[in-house]
Amino acid sequence: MASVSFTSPDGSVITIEAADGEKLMKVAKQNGVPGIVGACGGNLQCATCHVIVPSEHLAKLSPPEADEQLKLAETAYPREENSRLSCQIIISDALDGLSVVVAPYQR
Amino acid sequence: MKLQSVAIIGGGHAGDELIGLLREHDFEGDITLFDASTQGPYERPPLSKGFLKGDSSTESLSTRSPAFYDRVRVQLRRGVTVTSVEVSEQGVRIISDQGPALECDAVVVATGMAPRIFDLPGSTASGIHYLQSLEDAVLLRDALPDAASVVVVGGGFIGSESASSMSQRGLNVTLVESGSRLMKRAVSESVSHAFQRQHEAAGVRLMLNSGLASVSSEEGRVVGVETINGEKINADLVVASIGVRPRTEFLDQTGIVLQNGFVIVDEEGRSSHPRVFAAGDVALFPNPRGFGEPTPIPSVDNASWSANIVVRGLLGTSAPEKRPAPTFWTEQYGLQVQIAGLIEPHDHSVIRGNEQGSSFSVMHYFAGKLVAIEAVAAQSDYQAGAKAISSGFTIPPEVAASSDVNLSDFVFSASQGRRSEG
Repeated sequence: MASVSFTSPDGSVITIEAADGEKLMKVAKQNGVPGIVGACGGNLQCATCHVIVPSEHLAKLSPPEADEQLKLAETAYPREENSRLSCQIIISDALDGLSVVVAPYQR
Repeated sequence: MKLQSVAIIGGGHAGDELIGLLREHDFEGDITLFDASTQGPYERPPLSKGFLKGDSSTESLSTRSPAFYDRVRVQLRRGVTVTSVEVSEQGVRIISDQGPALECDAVVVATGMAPRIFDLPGSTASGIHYLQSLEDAVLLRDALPDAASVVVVGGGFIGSESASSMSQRGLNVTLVESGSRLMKRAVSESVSHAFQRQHEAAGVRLMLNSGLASVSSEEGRVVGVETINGEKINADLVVASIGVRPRTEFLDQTGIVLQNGFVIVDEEGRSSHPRVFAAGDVALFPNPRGFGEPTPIPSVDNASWSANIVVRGLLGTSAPEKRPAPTFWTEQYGLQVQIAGLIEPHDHSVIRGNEQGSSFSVMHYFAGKLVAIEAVAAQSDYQAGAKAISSGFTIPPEVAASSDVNLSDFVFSASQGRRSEG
């Protein structure tokens, strides 16, 4: 289990207790986090689950794989240095306390 | 028209997206979701893939947590089938098989597709399965441990994927398809052949240009089938994936313009009646290429995109300027093809890489313009192609054909160039 927080473009903050093994994108969708689209269901096809990870939280995550790097070039809101696709982040204990900012727009 | 209440008919991907998006766009009125399923919105792509293989549970398919529906204040009418709709200038009245009629200001039809059912000698025997809903998938999955052999009828995405999943579970699978190759309406010949090689390597028997003549049973249970070529095949189960039709019969008396059951809608998802919208598989939007006949686009990507459009149409907010290329994908035996754009019509195609190998792409052109890419285990090419198509940029055929050129670099530098020009 990990407690993860999303700050949405509308300013709302939603904190969720997420189960291990789940995709961060799916956790957001299941709980209706505003601004996360996830149109392809987490198959790295759409780049619509774009989140930005504040620097102080980066250490919790392993860096993006090559496929995610490629897809990050396609996000509607321009990629930032700490941008990630939340479908490629898998919940584990190590993520406890993670906080991410949902990209201002996804399409 | 100031909306106070919206009803959504259908709890598939489009209906599910609509709920969240209406609230994200600050709609404060009543939302009612009519869902014929009692299971609630769930993910459909895994049904013929991981779910059938036994990799995922029913619970893991839920798209939302129970708390979500409370938070977004949706009236969920689960297990309820809408039987008719009355539309007038003043509003919409929805009549269902359970509970009182609902009066609302606007309705979104997102009922999806119903499977075509066999009408053959013997086709009422038990052991004949369809694969459209979660309920169907559970019935089939639970029948698999007691089965040794299965005949899959229909080699579209769903039929081909379920043949792959059941073969990987160790079943003896025969796949019967009426066309000359698998997934003929969705992918080009090279891609069909790449997947056919996977099926054959896994020991699946492919019977192309064939079909069922009858189903034979003993004591009401399937024991085999006979093909139109007269061949008899033993089978414990038959899985039929022989086509779909839009679930829109309940609109028949409304005067809303349909085409083969699909709801014809404008760029904002509005039907011929201003209070009736459609999203997902049942909606027939203007062709995303900007010309040509409207074409059904059955995919989760389209469900999500159309929900986004319809919400803007309902609430009168502006629509995004240009539609990104529609995308599709399938995965069988671990091999994935990703498709961006509509393949038909095209007048020229280029193969990138070795189509007999484990990774290649097919780029399709129409009137000199890149219109679609199919990427078989070629993520980088796919990303580049999808980006180019969505932005209306054409990768010249000679560039596409050259394996020496990195397409991502090419598209990226071209888009940078265009930006500096503009």
